[in-house]
Amino acid sequence: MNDIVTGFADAAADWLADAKAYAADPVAALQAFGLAQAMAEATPAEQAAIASAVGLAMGEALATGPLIEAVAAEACGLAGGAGATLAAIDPQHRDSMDDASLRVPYADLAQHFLVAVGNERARSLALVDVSVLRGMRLVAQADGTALGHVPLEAPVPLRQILGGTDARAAAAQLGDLLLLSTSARLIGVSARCLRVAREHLGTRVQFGKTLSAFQVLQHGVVDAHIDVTLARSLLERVVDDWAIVAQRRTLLMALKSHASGAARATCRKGVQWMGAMGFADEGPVSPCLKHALVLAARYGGEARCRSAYRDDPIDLFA
Amino acid sequence: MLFSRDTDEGRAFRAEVRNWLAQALPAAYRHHLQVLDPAILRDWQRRLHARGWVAPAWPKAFGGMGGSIDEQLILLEELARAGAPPVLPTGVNLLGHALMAFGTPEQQARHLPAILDGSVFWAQGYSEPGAGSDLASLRTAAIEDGDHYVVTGEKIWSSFAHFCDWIFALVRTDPDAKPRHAGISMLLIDLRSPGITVRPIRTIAGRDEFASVVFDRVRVPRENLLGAKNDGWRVANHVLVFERLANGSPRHALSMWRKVRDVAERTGVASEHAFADRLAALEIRLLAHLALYRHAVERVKHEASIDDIAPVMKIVSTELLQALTELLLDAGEPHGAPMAFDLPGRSLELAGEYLLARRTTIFGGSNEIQRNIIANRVLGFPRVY
Repeated sequence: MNDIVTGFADAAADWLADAKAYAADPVAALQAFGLAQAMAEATPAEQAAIASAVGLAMGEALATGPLIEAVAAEACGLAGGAGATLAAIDPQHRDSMDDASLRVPYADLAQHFLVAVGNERARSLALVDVSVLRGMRLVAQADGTALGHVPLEAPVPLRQILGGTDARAAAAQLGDLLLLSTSARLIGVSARCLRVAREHLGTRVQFGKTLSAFQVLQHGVVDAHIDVTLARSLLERVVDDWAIVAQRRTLLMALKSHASGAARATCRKGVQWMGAMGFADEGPVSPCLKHALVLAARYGGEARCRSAYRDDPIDLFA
Repeated sequence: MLFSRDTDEGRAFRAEVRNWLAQALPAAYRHHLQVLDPAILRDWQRRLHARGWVAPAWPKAFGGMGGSIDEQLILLEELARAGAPPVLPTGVNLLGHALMAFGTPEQQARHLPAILDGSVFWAQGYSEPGAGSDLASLRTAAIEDGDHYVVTGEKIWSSFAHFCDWIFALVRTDPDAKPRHAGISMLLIDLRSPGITVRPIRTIAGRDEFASVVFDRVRVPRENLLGAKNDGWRVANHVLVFERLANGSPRHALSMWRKVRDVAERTGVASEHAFADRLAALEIRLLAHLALYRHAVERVKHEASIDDIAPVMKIVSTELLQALTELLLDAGEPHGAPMAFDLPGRSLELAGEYLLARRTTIFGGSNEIQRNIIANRVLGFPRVY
């Protein structure tokens, strides 16, 4: 399975390196890349591997946009219902659409939102046409993207695309894939930050030697390297054990919590290692930190995911 | 076990081990402190040896279990699960591998069986009063005199040396060698030899765990040279690889996690939000460590190097263990910091566990040295001290 992750990560990285087409029209670019077909033909475990590979590549490239959301929807067989307009997903389970609010990443790019509605007994997946929503406010995020905040003060017309047991399963699968691939993006961002910082420390000369010759800086980078290595290992294990459904969500909560904390800490340290260049907006590390902040908060942050893990922990000696 | 799916053969082996442990492991030996009475260590090793499981990684040709990687892991996991005492690592996990790689047939025939059955316990003689992390600066001299080496000097921090029978020691056989590590050899020395004085050193935990070993013109037969003369550094590095692997195992952290959970439930601290949150954070890190360990095992299965992650595992496992002992103290806090804490069927030494765990980041190449290794060999940074 790790071969699939590596293979797809390499391919996705090459593709994202020339990301003009992606930036202009993410969904069309997704189709052109062949991910839709790959996801349609893949087993659930392979879909997880592909989703995490794409996430790693996106993180490393600091790419934004709803690519993993679209990939997850493809995996759940929902893209057909959404058509090529699908661009944003709110995977939260809510009891109804008129007593809550929607918070949707990349909402400015969307024509429809895919939402899960209902309760444990009756859940469905539905499309909301953005044009019928009233009062949506776009909240600028640190990485330059927008989070759509939609107060749902009145009933919103929905177009159900999946209902009953299928919807429940698809919603859960969707949520799992988003947690997985967002964690992968965080790890990709961390890896990029480490790479950039290492290059800087290896070339910047102060007091007659490169910064990388100072042990205190070396050990700081080592600690970040350890955190990212652990996160990457956990990601690969979660993908390998994807078929064990009973423990998947708990492991994903652990993964997202760890990846969020590691990414924020690594990128925060990266700013420090780069000195004033790190603090400058034009520097190469500041975008890493901004991406880490946004992704760490998405689909559950470090503390909330840890809390969810605590509610349903894994028996390590089971 | 997490991240490990047993094959049909693995499941059968796990059941066999679990059943055997239920019968063969005395209750008094379970979930004890990390250091035990030598009599318990010898007795437990004898039982394991009789079952053929004392050296899972050794080839059958040398009397080991010759187990597959999966079988070795299953055995390790089940021993941890049952709270079994450790096998003294210096013989089985360290010297044994060096003897198999560098020993003469005579040395192998003489020493390997006694390592396996626990009739001879080995100490490790590396550090000296003036040579710790900078091991290449060691000064204990071995001068050739006919069929013998005459050894003079002092080894220190030798774990369990006060109840061991032999010691494998790094000695200087060429004082003028450049670089310094080129003049070092490995000698196998009987601790009952005339001229040897062993002085136990009490640890911070109040136990005689390590010792100073003084050599005053000790005559060691030339046949006790392990490997070639002046090639001891290579032998030592071979040993260090196994030492770091053993130190990187999640076994001790797993065992400590269970103790923390049990004590916290007993005292009621487990239900406190702040405590539960800290424990969850460490559990998540332990999960990640288990994932990394499994990753390392997969690499070993495919005969790929784990040089880049062995020091990472050593750092993570030992610092995780120490962090868990911090929680252990908090879990028992309603009772102060007791040396003894009673649980159903067993007794824990809370303060003792905390104090003992201090050693793990110091021994086997301190964690600062491990970080230097990662910085230099993995990240490509300049070598600095």
